[in-house]
Amino acid sequence: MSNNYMLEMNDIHKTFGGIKALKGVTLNLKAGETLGLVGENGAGKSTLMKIMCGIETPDASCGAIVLDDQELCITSPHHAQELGIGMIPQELILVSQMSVVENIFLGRESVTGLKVLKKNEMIERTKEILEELHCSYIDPLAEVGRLPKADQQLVAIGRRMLQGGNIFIMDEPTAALTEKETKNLFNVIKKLNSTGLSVIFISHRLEEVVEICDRVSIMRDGMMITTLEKKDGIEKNDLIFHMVGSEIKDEFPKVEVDRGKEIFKLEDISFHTNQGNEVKDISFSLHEGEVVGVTGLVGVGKTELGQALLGLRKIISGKMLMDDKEVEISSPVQAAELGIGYVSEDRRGEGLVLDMESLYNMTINSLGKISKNLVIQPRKERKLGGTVAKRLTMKEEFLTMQAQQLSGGNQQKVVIIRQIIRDSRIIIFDEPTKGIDVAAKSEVATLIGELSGEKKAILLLSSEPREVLGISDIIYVLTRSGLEGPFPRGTLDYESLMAIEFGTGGGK
Amino acid sequence: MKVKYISGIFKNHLGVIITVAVLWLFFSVTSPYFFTAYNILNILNRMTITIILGLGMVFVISSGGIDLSIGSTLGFTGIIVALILKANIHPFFAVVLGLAIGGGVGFTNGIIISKFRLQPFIVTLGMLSIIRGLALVFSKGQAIFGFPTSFTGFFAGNAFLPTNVYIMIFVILLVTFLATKTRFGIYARSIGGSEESVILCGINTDLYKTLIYTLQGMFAAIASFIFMSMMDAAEPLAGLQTEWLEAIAAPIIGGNSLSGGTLTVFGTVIGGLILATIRSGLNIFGVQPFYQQLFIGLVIIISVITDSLRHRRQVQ
Repeated sequence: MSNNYMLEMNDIHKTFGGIKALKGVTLNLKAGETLGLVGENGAGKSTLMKIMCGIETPDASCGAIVLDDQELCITSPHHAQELGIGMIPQELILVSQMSVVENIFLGRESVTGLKVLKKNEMIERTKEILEELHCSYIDPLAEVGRLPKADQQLVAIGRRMLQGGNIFIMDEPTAALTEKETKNLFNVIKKLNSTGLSVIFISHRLEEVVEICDRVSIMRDGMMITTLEKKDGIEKNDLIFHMVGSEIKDEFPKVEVDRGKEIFKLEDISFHTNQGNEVKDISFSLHEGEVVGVTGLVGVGKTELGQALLGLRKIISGKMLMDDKEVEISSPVQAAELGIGYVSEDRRGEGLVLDMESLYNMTINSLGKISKNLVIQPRKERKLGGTVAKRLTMKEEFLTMQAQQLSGGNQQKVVIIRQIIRDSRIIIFDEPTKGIDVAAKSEVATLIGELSGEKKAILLLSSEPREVLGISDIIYVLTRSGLEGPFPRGTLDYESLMAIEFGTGGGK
Repeated sequence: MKVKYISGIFKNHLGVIITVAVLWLFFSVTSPYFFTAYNILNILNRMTITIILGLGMVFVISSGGIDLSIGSTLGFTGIIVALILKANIHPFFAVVLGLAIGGGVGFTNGIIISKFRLQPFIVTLGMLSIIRGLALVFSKGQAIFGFPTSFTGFFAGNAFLPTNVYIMIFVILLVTFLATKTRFGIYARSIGGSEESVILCGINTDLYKTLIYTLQGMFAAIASFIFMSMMDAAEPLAGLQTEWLEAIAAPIIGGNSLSGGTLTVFGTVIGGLILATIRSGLNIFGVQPFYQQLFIGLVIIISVITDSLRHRRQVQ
């Protein structure tokens, strides 16, 4: 069966403890193309990629994979590497304490006959690779952990380039990147393609998939639904249609709620960002039943604003009022006592205790509610967690599963449920739909709306313009020169919002 | 490049360098006996065991592990080597066998830790007890005396400087080479930094972890030769006092993070020097050994606090 595919995966099945994760999936890859792979979380993308990388083996292990017209089994990550298949995972696998050179050469160091490292040679080669990636500004001797995320991404790609091979799998490579950095990455991908290398591009950002990919394969429920060709024209809505099986009209549905009384007010708050810039004179107020969206480019200080409200970041000047009384928040404990809850953008790192059951993750900050005389009442806990989970259409069996076994969307639900159980009055969401699939996005958006319906005040920190436009009642835009707004719902559209973010117009 | 490298070392270790300077200045000013050739030699002599053990430990700590069993390894190897010597076997073979035994204990630690994916803390804690028990069994709880002079004469010898100081210098050079010029050093650090990523790079982490503990065991054997020759006896309880504690303390004081990922040989040596200086100073002032133990503990905790504060500042 000879054709122009460099890699074929035919009729791949994979079963995990009785559950069929892949039900006969077929995937083809041509030389020098970028193939998009999309699908909701749990559709089987990661399992398929793990099989390709030798991390998992398919049920009937041999014969199903054809590489350069040769049938073979991929037995280990090492084997996959030798075959030229390399993965750049979503969570970057760099050693942050080590230098760029050391990371790029990890496992492939050049040594002399006596096994002594050839440092200068490695530094030179690293410079060449960085040059090829258009990022020669990165110091090969810099500690990787101190580089911006985008540069770390490039270092990870650099490592792959050094390892050679002709198939690069990129899992959500743009998740942490700004628009400009994404553009640069796309240029790199095109350059890789032009030298005959193939890229498999996995992303939830469908507009990017449409932009960069030559073909897009769509998975759903462990099956390959279809593969669309760019030359036939691909629309984002086509992708969504195939991914969810039906067209979602509204990605970020809005729940209309009447605005209640003012709970919380910021007056001229100033603080420093991680980069050391000062964000000055932030003033706005939060009302019951209202969603306030604060947006802006990456790095402008949105996350830091959330941290300031939690007492995790020092406030240089200004005051905060809760129910018209001045309050001081210097720790998350105080914030929690005041009824401020926080849903972190880093679910896995800051949101969840990953190897603890999801039920315990839900009740972790309201143990008082489910305890009697300091003893936890498991039945009460189960009932409380179960009720809220049911309301959020989360399956009962997920409660006893470890948080890390859940999909991104369900993990997000667990963190939100925690705030509901805790009865927080104000809930701060930092990038609540980052890295979760389309259907789960719209569910989370609905959920945020429903929370506001329960008289909670919501502060949404997001760099996803459609999300902010879709669910906020009031929008503020944080820019380098300060906070622009308020813009009531409906007064901004996508273009005018971008214009304000990039400082090219709008504002009052 | 070289100048930058050396100034980099100074910059990264400013805290410990200042500490050493302050300690030396303080003791020199307050006591006429401190800054004398005799005492300096004494400090050098005293620090050899700590530094040799600490330089094995620095790879273990760098890889995110810890080895609590080195004190016992020292004691056990000493007893076995003593028995071999008493059986009239040539000291050269006794030394080779001793290295093999120390390395073997470390190898066992490493194999168990890597193959069964266990916490180094608990594995080496178990090993600590097992080999201390074996040392007591083999020696019937008694110290063993009377070794051939070719053995003690070598290890307790003196050619301008005592032999053990030369051995220490050799170990320092060897370890510096391993840490900066070989894959062994890079992998030790990267395993501590992110083991998962090292595995995904196709590196056999089990092998390198095992090698790290094996090296640590061999260094414990070298330390035991020095210990035996200093005492002219092999004690089943050797290494039980502060030796193993200082071996862990020296790298930590020197700025190696307990969570792994960093590796500084220079810092470890300075850490050992700080410990030896404090001990010597306290001796000169006639402070009881009991209090000395208390001081060493304080120094360890203070250095860990400093390390953690420095980390926090970097994060901010």
